[in-house]
Amino acid sequence: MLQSLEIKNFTVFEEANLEFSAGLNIIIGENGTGKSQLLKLGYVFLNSSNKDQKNMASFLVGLKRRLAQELVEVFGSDNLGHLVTNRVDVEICNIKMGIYPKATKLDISFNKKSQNEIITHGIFDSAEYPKPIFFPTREIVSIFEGFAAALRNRELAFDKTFLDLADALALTLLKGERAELIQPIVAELEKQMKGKVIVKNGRFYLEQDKKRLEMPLVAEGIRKIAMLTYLIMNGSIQKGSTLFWDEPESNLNPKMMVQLAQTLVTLSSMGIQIFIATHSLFLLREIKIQLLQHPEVQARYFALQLEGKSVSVQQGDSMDEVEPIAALDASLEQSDRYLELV
Amino acid sequence: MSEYIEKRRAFCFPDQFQVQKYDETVFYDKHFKKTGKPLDPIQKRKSTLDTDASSRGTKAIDFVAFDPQQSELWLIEVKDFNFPMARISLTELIDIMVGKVIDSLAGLLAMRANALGNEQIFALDAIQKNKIRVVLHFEQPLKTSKEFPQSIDIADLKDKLKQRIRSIDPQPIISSMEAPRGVPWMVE
Repeated sequence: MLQSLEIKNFTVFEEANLEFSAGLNIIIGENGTGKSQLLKLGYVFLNSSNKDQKNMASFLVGLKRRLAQELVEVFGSDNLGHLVTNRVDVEICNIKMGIYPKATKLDISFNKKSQNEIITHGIFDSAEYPKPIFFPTREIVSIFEGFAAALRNRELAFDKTFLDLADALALTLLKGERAELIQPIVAELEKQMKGKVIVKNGRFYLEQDKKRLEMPLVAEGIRKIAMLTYLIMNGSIQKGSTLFWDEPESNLNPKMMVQLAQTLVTLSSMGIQIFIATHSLFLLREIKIQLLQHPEVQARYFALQLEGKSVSVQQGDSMDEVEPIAALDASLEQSDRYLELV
Repeated sequence: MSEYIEKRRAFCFPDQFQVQKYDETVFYDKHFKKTGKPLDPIQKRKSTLDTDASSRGTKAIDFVAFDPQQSELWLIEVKDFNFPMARISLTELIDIMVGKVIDSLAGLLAMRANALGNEQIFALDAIQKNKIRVVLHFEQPLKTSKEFPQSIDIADLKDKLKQRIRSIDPQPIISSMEAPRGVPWMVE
C-alpha cells in the first residue's frame, strides 16, 4: 500500500508532498491538473517495487530497470527524460515513495537526458504485497478476447495499464475458503448488476435470468462493475491490494454512482486501499454519505490546482479541508448564471 | 416568543432567548462599525448592494442570540434572493458572510469590554458560550424549472461555507422557512 509520495519536478508537479490514507484517497482537480498522472505515478512505483526477489542486490538492479520501463510505458513518453518538468532551469526529477508499513523510502532521480537511467538514493527495504490494479477511464471486459495478445504483439495506442489489467483479468477464479470470504461483496455487486459475470472461451458475459448476454451488449456502467467484480472473484483485488481508478463515474448514471460510492467505501473497509480521480460532485457527496456510515474508513482528499505552469496540491482528511473543489465552484457559478436570467 | 423583523421576515425566538439585532446595538452603530481599516474604493464600488459594508470598516451579522441555559451562541445572517436587488454572486455571499461572522465575534469581545449597561451584560453572557453556531437563513427565488428545481443547490452553498468557516463552526446551518434544519426559532 502506498503511504506517501514526495515529488520534485515531475511533469506538472514542481513540488508536492502527499500523505495517503490506507483507505480511500480522492483526487480532485480540473482537466490538466495531473490527476491521472498522480494515479499512474503511484501505480508505477507500487507495481515496480513489489519485493518479488529475495536477493536484495538483484532486486535493486531489477527495480531500477522495471521503474524506468514502467514510467515510459505507462506515461506513454518517448523516453524517461521527457517526464522531467519542462522548464529551462530544471534538470533533475526526484521522487520518494513510502509504503505501508515500512519505514524506509524508495528515493530515485533521473534527469532530462535520461533514456532509461534511474539513480536510487539510500536504502530501500521493500515488501511483498498484491499487485496493484489500475482501472483506466474505460473498461476492457467488452474487448477482452485477444486484447492482451494484440497489445503484446502490435503497436497499439494503449498504455501499459491496459495490458496489466488484461493480465489480471486472465487469472482464473479463486476457490475454497478464499472464494467464500469474498462471497458477500460479490453477491452485493451481482445485485447491482442484476446478474453474474462469467467467462467462456476467453469472452466475458453477464448472466441474467439464465440468459448469457455478451459484454459488448451490456451498458458500459455495468461493464465497469463487472470488471471490478471479476477481479475480486479471481483474487486480483484482495485485502492489502491497492486499486487506482481514473474517473470511476464516467458513463455511470446517478443511481449507479450511489452504488459505486457504496462499493468503494465497502472495499476500503475490507482493507483495500483505493485511489480515485474524479470530477463528479455527485459522487463526492455520495462518498461522504457512505463515510458517515463507515467511520472506520479513513479518507484523504487531494485538491489539485494549476498555478502558472505548475500544479499545487492541498490535502486533508475531509473535503472541507481542501480547496478548490472545481466541481463545487462550477456548480455555484452555474447557479449564478441561472439566477441572472430568472 | 419574542419577534424581530429582518428582511421582511418575522423571526420568532423562544421566550428565554436573549437576542440582539447586532447592527442596531449602540455599541456597534456608534463605535465599532467605524473600527478597522476602511474598505478601499474598488471594494466599495463592488459592494453597492451591501450599503453597510461600503460605508464602514467592520461588518455586522443580522442576529446574535443565545439561550441562557444552553451552550450555543447563534450568529444568524438573513438573505432573501426573492428580491432581485438582494442578489449577489454566491461566492460573494459566502465572502460577506464569513467577514460578518469574524467581525461580529471581534465586536462582541470589544462590546464585553467597552459597552455600557445591558449591551455589556449581553456580550458578557454571549462570550461565555462554548459553541459557536453559524446560520445563514436563505430564501431561494420561488421561480423554478425542471432543470433547476431549486435555483441554488443548498448543498453547494453549505459545502462552500463549511470550507471557509469550519474553524469557527464545523457544521454551519443553511435554513429557510421551508427547511428550518432544526434551529430553535421560527420564521414567518
